[in-house]
Amino acid sequence: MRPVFSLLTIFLGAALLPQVLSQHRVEFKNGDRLSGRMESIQGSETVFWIHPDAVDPIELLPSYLGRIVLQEGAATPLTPEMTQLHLSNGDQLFGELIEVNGQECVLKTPYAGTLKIPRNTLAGFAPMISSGLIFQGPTSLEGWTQGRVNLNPVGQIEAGEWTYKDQAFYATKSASIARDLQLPDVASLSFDLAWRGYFTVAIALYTDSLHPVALLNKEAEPDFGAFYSLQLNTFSANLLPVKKNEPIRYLGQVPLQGMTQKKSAHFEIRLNKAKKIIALFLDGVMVKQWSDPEGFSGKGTAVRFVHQGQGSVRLSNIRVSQWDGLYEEAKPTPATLKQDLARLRNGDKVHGLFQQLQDGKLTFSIPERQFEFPMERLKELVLAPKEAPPLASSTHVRAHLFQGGRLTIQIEQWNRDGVLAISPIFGKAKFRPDAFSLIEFEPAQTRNALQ
Amino acid sequence: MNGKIFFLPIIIWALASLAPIASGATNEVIRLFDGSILSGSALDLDPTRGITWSSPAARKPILFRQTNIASILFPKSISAADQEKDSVSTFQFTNGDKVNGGLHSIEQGKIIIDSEFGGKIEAPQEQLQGIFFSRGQRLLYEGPTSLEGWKTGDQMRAWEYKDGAFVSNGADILGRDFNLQGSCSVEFEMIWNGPFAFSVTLYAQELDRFDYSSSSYVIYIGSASIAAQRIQAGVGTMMLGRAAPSGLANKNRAKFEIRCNKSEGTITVLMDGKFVEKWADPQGFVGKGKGILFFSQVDGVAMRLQNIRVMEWDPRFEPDNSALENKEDVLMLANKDKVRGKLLGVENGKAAIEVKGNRLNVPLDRIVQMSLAKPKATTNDSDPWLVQGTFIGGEALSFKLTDWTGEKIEGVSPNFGPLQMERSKIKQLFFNLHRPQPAEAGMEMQELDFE
Repeated sequence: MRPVFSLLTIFLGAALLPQVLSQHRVEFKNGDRLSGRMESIQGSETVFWIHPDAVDPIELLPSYLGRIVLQEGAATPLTPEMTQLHLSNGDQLFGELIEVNGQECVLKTPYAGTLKIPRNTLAGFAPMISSGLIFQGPTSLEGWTQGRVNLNPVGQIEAGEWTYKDQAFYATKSASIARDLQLPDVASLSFDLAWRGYFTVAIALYTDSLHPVALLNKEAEPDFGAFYSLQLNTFSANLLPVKKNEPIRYLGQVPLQGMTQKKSAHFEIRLNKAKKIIALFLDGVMVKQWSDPEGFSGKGTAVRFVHQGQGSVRLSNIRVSQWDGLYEEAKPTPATLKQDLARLRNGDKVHGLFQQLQDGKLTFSIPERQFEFPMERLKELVLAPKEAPPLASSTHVRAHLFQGGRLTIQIEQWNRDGVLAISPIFGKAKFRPDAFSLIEFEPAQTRNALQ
Repeated sequence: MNGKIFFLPIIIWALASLAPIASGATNEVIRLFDGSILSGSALDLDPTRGITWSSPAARKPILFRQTNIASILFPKSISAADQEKDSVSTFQFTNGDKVNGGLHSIEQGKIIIDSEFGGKIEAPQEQLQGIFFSRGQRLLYEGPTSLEGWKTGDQMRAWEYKDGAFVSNGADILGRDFNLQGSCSVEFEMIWNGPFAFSVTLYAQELDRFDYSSSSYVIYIGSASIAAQRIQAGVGTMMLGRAAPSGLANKNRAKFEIRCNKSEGTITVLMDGKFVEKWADPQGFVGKGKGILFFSQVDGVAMRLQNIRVMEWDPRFEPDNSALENKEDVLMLANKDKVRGKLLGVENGKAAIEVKGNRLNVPLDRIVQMSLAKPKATTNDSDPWLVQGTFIGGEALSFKLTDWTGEKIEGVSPNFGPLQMERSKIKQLFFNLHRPQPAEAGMEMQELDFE
C-alpha cells in the first residue's frame, strides 16, 4: 500500500515552492473567511494559517472550517498515457494505470508516486487517450482573451469582463472571453453553466477571432472568418452560421425544456466538420442536431463565450476533446450493472467479468471463453458493484485535485514538503501539496458510488 | 484640543441602566481590508501592536496589526431606553460626528450641548455644521441584528441575516410590522452587485407578499431611477412620479432615506444625504398598514441591506438636508420660513443671526433646523487608531482610540476631547479612516451561492 515517492517528485515539489506560497482562502462554516496562506495541517486538530496582518500563525480548529481554497497550484497536465480511475466511494484519480490484478490496481501518479488500490474498491476507469482530451479548464485567465462587447450602439448595456475564481469564469455584465482551443474537425466541447436570473450566452464555434463580433453590425467589424454562433438562453437554443458580407442564416431554434426551473446545467456540443453536423446535449440528452445545408462554415479553431448582459453566469468545467463521431447510449450507472461492462472506442460493448489489465491488455471472461483486447481500444470500463465502500468519518476531508479528480483522505500532516494522508481505500500516501485546489472539511457521508 | 475648556475631564459615554455585553461575547465581527471577516470578540488593544481577537474557531487569541483593520461590528438591538429618546436634537459636525442632546448655548466660539452621554460637553463652534431640532422623534427600529421579527417570502432564496446586514441572493420579500402610526422615515444602506430592481412598501398590511388590496406607498429603486407609486385599496395604483438621481447608475452602494409626511401627504427620497425628489399624493395620505416591506425583485443579483433605521417624527419638524450645503448660515423655522445670514450665537433660548447688517433674535422653539455654512472636513490622518464609532440612535463620533480593556473604551475626540465609553453602546467601530472601506463580503459575484 505504500506509495513510491520518487526523487523526481520531491525535486518537482521543491521547484514549485513559490506557488505553494500563493494566496489561499479559508471559509468557515459560519460564513467567515480569512485570506492568507495555509502553512500546515497537524492531524485533525489544527490548521496553521498565515495571515499578513496577524502577528503569529493562526491555529484554526478544523471543526469550524468549511473549506480551504488553494487558488493557485500546479496542475499537472493530463497526458494520453493517463487513465481516470473511479473508486467505489466516488473518489477519482488520474495517473498511469500500470496493472490491475485480482488483488489491486497499480496507478503511477505525478502527485503521489505509485498508489496501490485494492481491486474490490475499483468502480471503473477510462483511458485519457480514448477521451481525446485537448483542453480542460479553466485554471486561470491566462491564455484567454477578453473582448469588449458592444451589444447596443447607444451603449445602454454596460460592458464588463469575465472574472476567474476557483476554476470558473463569472460574468455579471456583458462580457466576452475566447481562446484558441484547437477544436479538431470532429470534436466535443462541454461545459457547466450556472446562472441567476435569465441568461443569454452566445458561443462562437470554430471562430478565428478572439474578439466578439456584433452580429447586427458585422460588416463594420474587423475582418473575421466564418463561424457558428450557438445562442443559448433560459428558454431556447439557436444556431447561426455567421459569415462576413453574407446575410445571417438561422439553422433552427429549439426550446430548452425546464431551464426556468434550474439554476445550472451541463452542456455538450458535438461537432463534425465532414458531416456538417452540430449537436447540442443538455444534461446528457441530445436536444437538437443541426446540419448546415450550405457546407460547414467554421474557419478557425477557437471558441468564444459571450455573456450578453442579462443575469449572472458561471462557466466551469470546460472540456474539449476529440469525438469518435458516435452517439453512445445513456451511460449505465454501476448500480444497475450485473456484469462488468467495457465500452470500446469503435462502439462495441463487452459484458462479462473483468479479470485483469496486464501489459496493456485487458482480459474479460465472457461465457465459455476469455476475451482479450488492448487498452487502446477501451473507451470506458464500468465494474459491477462488489461491496459497499468504506464510509468517510468526520475527520476525513475531501481534497480536490487541480485536474478535476478528488480524494477522501484523513490528513496526518500537511506542510510544504508534502501531504501525509490516509485514504480509507488505499491507506497511507504522501502527496504533493500543490496538487490540490480545494479541501472540503467534513464532507457529507460519502455515498456509495455504486448506487 | 488646544485652548478648549471641558466641563468634564473625561466624557463618559454610557448609560448605567444598560447592561454591558458580557466579556467573551462572540457575536462581534472584525473585518480587515483584504476582505477577511472573523467572528469573535476583541480582548484588548495594544497601541503599538494591534488588537487581540478571540475567535471560537482559533485555538489561541489572534493579534491583528492595526494597520489593516477596517471595522469591528458589535451587533445589538435597540432598547426601550433608546426608543424613549423622543425630544433630542442632533448636532452634526464637519468631520462627520453626530451627537444627540439639547442645545445649551453657542457663544464665544464654543457650542455647549447637554449631551446624552456626558452631560454638558463643548466643541469649537467652527466645527459645527448643523443642528436638527428633532422634536417628536421616536426611534422604532435600528438594525438589523437578526431575522427575528421579520417575515420573508416563501422563495427558496430568502433573505438571510449576516454580520449586521440582510443579504439576498435572489428575488425575495422582507417585511416587518413597525406599528407605524404617524409620519415616518426609513433609512437604509443598500449595496448591490448588478442591475437590480428593489422596492420599499411603506404602511404595508401584508408583510410576506406584495399586496394590491390594501392601501400603501411603494418606492421603486432601480439601477438608474427611483419612482413612487400609490396603491389604494379598491381603486388601483397611481404613479406619483419618477426621478433619476445623478450618479445612481454608476454606484454599487448608497444610503437611502425615505420620509413620509402623513399630514402633507408627501414622500421625500434622499440618496447619500442629498435630496432626490419629493412627491405629493394629490388625494392626501392613504397608507393604512403598519409595516414596511423590502422586496428585491431580481434573481441573479446579490443585495445587502444594512444600517436600517425606522423613526416616527412630528411632520412639523421635517429636516432639510440640502440646507447643509448652503454658503451662508440658515435658520429653518417651523412655519417653513428660512432666515439666511451669519449666526452670531445662541443664548437665553434665542438664536442671534445677522441678516444684511441687522441683528435678529429668533426664539429657539421656533427653529426646526440650524445649518451653518461649513465645508465637510476630510481626514488625511493615517493614524490607524483614529476611529469612528457609530451608536444606536444614529450618533457617530471620531476619536483616537487610546485604550480598550474589557468593557471600557477610551479615546480622544478632536471635537470633544478625552472620552470614555462602554463597549455595549457601540454599534460599529471603523478604523483607518483615511482608507475606503473594503467591499462588503458576500457582494462579489463569486460569492453568490452557485450550486
